[in-house]
Amino acid sequence: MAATAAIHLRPLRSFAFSCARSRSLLHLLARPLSSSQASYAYHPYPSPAAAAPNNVHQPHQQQWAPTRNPSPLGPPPQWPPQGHPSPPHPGNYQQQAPPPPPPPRGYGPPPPQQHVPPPPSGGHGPPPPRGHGPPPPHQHVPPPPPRGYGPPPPHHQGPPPPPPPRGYGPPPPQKQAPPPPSRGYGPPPPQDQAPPPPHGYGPPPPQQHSTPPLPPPEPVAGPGELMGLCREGRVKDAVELLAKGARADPPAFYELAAACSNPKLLEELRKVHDFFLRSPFRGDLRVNNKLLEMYAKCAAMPHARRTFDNMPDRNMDSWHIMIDGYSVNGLGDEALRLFELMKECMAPTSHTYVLVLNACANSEAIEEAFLYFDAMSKDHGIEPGVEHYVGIIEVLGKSGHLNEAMEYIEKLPFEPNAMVWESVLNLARMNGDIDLEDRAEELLVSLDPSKENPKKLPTPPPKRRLGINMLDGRNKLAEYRLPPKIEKKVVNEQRYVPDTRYVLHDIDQEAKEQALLYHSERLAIAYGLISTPARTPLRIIKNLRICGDCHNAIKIMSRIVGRELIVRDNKRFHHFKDGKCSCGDYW
Amino acid sequence: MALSKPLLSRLLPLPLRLRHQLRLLCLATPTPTPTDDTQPPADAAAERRRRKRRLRVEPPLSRGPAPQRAPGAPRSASNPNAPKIPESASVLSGKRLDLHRRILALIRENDLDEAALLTRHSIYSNCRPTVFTCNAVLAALLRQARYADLLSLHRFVTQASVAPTVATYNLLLQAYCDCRRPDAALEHFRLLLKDDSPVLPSPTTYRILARSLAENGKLDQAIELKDGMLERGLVAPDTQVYAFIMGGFVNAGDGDTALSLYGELKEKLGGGPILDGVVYGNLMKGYFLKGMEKEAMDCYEEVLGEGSKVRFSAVSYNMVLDALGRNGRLEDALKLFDRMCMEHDPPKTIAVNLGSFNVMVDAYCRAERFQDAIDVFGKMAEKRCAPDALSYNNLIDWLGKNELVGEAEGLHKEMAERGVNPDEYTYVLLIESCFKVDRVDDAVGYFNGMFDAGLRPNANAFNKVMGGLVKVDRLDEAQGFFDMMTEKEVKPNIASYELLLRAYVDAARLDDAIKIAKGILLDESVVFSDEMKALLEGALEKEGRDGDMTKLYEDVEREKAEAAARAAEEKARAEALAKEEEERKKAEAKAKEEAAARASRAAIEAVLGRKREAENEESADGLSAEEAEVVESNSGTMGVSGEQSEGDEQKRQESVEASLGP
Repeated sequence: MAATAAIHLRPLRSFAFSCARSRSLLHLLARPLSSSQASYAYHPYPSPAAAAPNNVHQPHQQQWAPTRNPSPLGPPPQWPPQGHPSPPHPGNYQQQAPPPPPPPRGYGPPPPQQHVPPPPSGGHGPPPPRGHGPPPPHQHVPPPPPRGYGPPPPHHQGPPPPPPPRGYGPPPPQKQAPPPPSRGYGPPPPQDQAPPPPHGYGPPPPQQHSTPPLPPPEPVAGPGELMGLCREGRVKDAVELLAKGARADPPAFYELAAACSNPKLLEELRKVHDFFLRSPFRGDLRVNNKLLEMYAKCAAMPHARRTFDNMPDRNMDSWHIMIDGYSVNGLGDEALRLFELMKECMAPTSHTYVLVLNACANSEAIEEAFLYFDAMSKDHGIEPGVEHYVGIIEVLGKSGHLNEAMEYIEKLPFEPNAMVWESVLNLARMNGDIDLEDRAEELLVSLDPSKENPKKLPTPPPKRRLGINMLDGRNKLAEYRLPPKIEKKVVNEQRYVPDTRYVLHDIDQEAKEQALLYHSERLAIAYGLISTPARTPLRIIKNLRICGDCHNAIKIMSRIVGRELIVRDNKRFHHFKDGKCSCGDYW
Repeated sequence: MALSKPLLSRLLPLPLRLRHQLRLLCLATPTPTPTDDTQPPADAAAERRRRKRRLRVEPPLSRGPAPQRAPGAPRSASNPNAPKIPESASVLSGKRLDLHRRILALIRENDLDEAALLTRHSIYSNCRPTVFTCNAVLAALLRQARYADLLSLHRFVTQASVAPTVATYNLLLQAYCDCRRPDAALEHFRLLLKDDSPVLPSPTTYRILARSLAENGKLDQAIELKDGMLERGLVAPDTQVYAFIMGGFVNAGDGDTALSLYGELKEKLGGGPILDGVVYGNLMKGYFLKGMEKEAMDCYEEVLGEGSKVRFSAVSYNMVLDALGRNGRLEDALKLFDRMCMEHDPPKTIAVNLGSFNVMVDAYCRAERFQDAIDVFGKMAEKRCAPDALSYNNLIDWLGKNELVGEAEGLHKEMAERGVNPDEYTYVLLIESCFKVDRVDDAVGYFNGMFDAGLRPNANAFNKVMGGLVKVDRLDEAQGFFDMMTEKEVKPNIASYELLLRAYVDAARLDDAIKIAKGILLDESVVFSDEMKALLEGALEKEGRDGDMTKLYEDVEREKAEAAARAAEEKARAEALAKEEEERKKAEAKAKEEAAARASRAAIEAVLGRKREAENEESADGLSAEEAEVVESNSGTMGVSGEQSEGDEQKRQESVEASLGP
């Protein structure tokens, strides 16, 4: 079977060659890295014309499938004992010319199989690495596939190759479409010319033999490729590649980790971390630090902490990253605890204290901040700099002690500079103190005119008499104007009163009220509210009729949340808005 | 509570970093030992953490599985009812920061309704406002004196379980204090002191309360507050708190307590000179009050002399300035004021503010140098201070009292030009001064001007104008204003009644006097005092109309009874109406039910009839035709009569007809 398939393939293959070869050539020549567009281009390209030939071989491909996709995490890459560049050829090659992936149309040899040293189970004749059975030209083809292969899973199922330049009659437009060239992928012109080896089915031109850079057996994706993918922001693809056994070196791991910069990519980060741990350079400090940093960015401090605890050695940066990570994630207390640990291992630096003060600010630990501030010069001989004073100001301001912060500024041993006022400005904004904001801005601009904000709106004049009138006793206003009545102003207060008539079960009153709370429309609305932006209308669809109690409750809800709630029950629509329903309570 | 004491003391001379001295400064701290210093952060932090743990609030866990939970560690039972710890500053990021910015922009545009509404609406969305955002809106509402809105937003936000920070509490307390309700403020303050409260009071909290209590003369509570502050040690002894309370005692004329408070503060702060200038104004007032002029001036020389390290802000200066001005030291006050103006270097140093000018105006006026007062008032703009209604009122008051009505009126005009809206008090001052110089018509004109300006004078304002009119014997006009009060929905107070009653008695218009007396007796909210009663009785006796008094009482009793009867009648009528309504509703419901029953009966009959008909079809052709006729004639009359039973009849007929039709 395999043999027949191979024979079948022949003519096609030569096609593939011509394309693939030309492309790989181009890569060698032109593009060292970042072949993003190329592989990208392949994605959206399941053209019918290409599909046709593919289908023929579909069954064949499927045979490979099982071996190919081992497990999500993939075969643990086999790390050659001596270090990374074990299979030199592929590595080098790929680093230079990453992933122009003209996946051979329906062409057998599945790349993953190839990197896994143990050859695939017998019987899959044609392409296995060692087989070398297929005709010589064959050989050039393989190298590209693995790379192009990695990223998009769909590829497995028959990634449409670039349309055969001619002969196979792809519709003319498609000819232009062949994505890679048209997308400004490498130097396109040569490509256009390259296809011309349209004598096509004949033996490939001699140069082909000379170029094949490497033996196909180990077309393992290498670090360069991974880094390329990361730089394109295709972390998931990169991780998948890694899962398939691509090798990575410390810089690649660094890049991989650095690419997982938001909480949505936490899973990827963990996988990268896993692979990293299985790699020989799991002790690499730089990568480890990066991992810590990225875990912090992904808001996964427990992971970061575990990593940190297991790190073979840590440097100052590791501690700093951890402390900073805790405080950025709102775990200032943890950060401070860690700092206590740190003091046992190494002497904190001036920067450490900046971070510690920041941690104090994030956990409203005013007292500790002052204690640390004192300890800084006392225990560690670090003279406080402006940034430390600013740190204290932030601690006060972020804990809502703006007045105290201002007092502190008055007592600073130096003339407050722009940095101080900028910090005050931000704190005032944070706390919504307009007057202080204006003052800080004025001071800031007087020190640093470049900070002027031309778009600033004028401040509305205050109504309240601020505490600047020192005329006690003279303020006889109260004699003539009673103090404003407050509290009792609540006019026609509305309140939800559960209406248990609609619970027909024979249970006690409390249980009835409880039962009302779980009516599905309420749950749906509650979920809808917390998962959509403010003031957007919600649409709820319910399969039964809405009960009277829910109707009342939703009317009240619509007023409180200020949204239109559109509820469809099995008979009609109810549009709740501003505490009223379009049905006029008749339904 | 070993926890946060060093807070304010730390704020004081920190830059000097005289740590040892600092420790001494705050008494609440256990005596510092060298060992104490080796791990102080642990101490302070520990208490705070203990507090958090007591609340059983876990720090927000990071997303994703928490890998390291020690296997044996019990899951901390989190109590859903425990007070929540406020969010930390780091939550202000991403979408929530965008929302914050948006709301800040709305506040700048002074569109507070929208800002408050957006905050409320965002509570129930995927982007909850942070507590900082809520605080910003609350602060803006406070700034615009919209207390009711502030309280309602605060309640809403609290109910939506946005955990308040100390800033939130301060805003709330300030709002209550501004409304002169220190008791309500104190109640909320007690929540802060509760053992499980996740937030602790800040020095600002104590200051707000101390100030309000002192201003409202609640000196006992103020002292209690101060003692609580010392005892709990959450904040270090605060000079401002002391200064406010001393001010309260000075105003109450109790110089001794003010001085002893100063001594106490000095002791608490370690015995050295107090470096915050805010106490010295009230201290000097205390000395002056006790006649210790020399001490006062010595103190002045010391803290404001050469080489003094005491820091003065505008407010502290104003206090000293006031102390000088009030005690006849105008020359010193002028010197100090000049110095303040020299130091004033906005935006860097603010040594002069609106209050300084007000104090200077007072000082000049006390020395009867009114032109100087007006001049200094006019100089305000030079120092970038804008006078508000209160400072205008102050000056107008002085001028009016000294019969300089022309100047006062000039100021009133200037107010309009400068866009400062005069308030009721401004008008009342003008009215008073006009009456003083016998320009009665102008006074009445000002009073009427108040309504044109959209102001709402209260009973006291009415009393002023009525009193003025009474004095010049224009009783009828006064009565006119009295009648106007009801028209304007202003409730007259006892002073208004007595004023007129006296006037009528004096003018021997006893009938009118009796009318007023009746008014007093009929008005539930005022009491007819014995003095008034005696006055009226005496007058009546003089005229030999002894019986009138009893008649008056009888009249009143009768009228009261009548009123009561009328009220009872009203009530009965309302009840009857309600009952009627209810019965009508019942009847309707019953009728409806019956109608439904009948309709169904009719339907049944119709079906039966059809059956019968089918049976009788051949034999009774003629009969059925007859029936149809009856139906027609019946339907003709029925539309008019419209009685229920007949209607049903018709329905039945019709349904029969319908069933016959096809």
